[in-house]
Amino acid sequence: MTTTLLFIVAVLTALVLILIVMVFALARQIGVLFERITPVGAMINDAGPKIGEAGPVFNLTGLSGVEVTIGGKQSKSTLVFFLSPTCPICNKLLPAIKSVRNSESNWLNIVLASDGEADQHLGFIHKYGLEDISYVLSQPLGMAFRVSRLPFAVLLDAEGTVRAKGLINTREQLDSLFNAAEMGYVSIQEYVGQTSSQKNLDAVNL
Amino acid sequence: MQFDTLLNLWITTATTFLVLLFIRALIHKVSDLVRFTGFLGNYNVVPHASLTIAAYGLIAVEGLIVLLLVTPQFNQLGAILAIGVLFLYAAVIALNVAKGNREIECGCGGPAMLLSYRLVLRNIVLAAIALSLVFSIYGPIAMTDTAVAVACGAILYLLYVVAEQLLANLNQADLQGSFQ
Repeated sequence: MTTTLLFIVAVLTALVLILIVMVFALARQIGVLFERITPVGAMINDAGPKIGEAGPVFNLTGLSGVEVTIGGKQSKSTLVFFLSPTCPICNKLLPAIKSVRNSESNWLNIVLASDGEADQHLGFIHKYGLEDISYVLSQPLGMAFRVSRLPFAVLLDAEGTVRAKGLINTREQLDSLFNAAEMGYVSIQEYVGQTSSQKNLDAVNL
Repeated sequence: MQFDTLLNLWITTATTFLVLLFIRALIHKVSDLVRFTGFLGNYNVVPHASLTIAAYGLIAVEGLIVLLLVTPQFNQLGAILAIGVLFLYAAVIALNVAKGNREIECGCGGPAMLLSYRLVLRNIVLAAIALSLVFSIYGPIAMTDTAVAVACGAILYLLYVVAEQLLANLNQADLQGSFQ
């Protein structure tokens, strides 16, 4: 009798383990599908210009002396990446920013934005090899987009409309900003408001 | 039915489960401290300048919990500390959910997880498991029994991992406003 009981316990344990693995695979697949159909990776905050609204226009002078215009009609989309030399995660993301600049240059301009005195930034720019990237210092720019935490990114399309924005902690969140723009929806809210069949069609078209 | 053996089996199972949980949390923090301080910063509870110190502090506390839990004499103390930490995290999560700051990464380890009150409930359940350890004194236990209990704890932990993925999906569905 005891042998039989032991046997069945062993079989059930094995079954439970297998089922756990199977359920995990299913749950994970659902999670992946969620991530695919809605590009909510970068943590959106609702303050400042809303997604789908025209962003404010700023005519600034970059640290290299070049004129930099943010917002309004341009030839390419613009990624404004707010950072600070003293922000460790910002520094971690710089290689990703540089690689994005190389790979997406056909449709995207990148502007690094910060505030404070120029001399605090020149050493930082030199250290991380950022001389080629537009770098502006403007407190009004940060305030216009209600930037409170760093690193923060805003993606503007070629019309100057805010397409995506949010806190960025990882490379994947940066990519999710581009996904939001690519999918061609004015806002996440508009996308979510669609019927589910339309969403399925769009997800497949990814 | 020997109650003592049953109790010891449960203590070993629960300890294994909690130890696995905290080790994973620890690895999640230690493997990328900069990322973790980012997650911590998103909660808006620690002043920016103290973020790194706070992160190290949490790592130290969780490491201590693991060490205490595996040492039979300090098992109860480890459990008390674990309850404290779990409630601390639950409070901070609840605070942010109440303020509407839900679209941040929980930073618990495990799958990417947005915040919700479900996480508070989860922590309360975990604390309840730890509570059972506080009130039980570990006694001597046979080797085979230990092996079985540890295996049970590991299986429970695997189940917990699945539950977390489902929880993450629910939180994600919440914020997308759809679960059809």
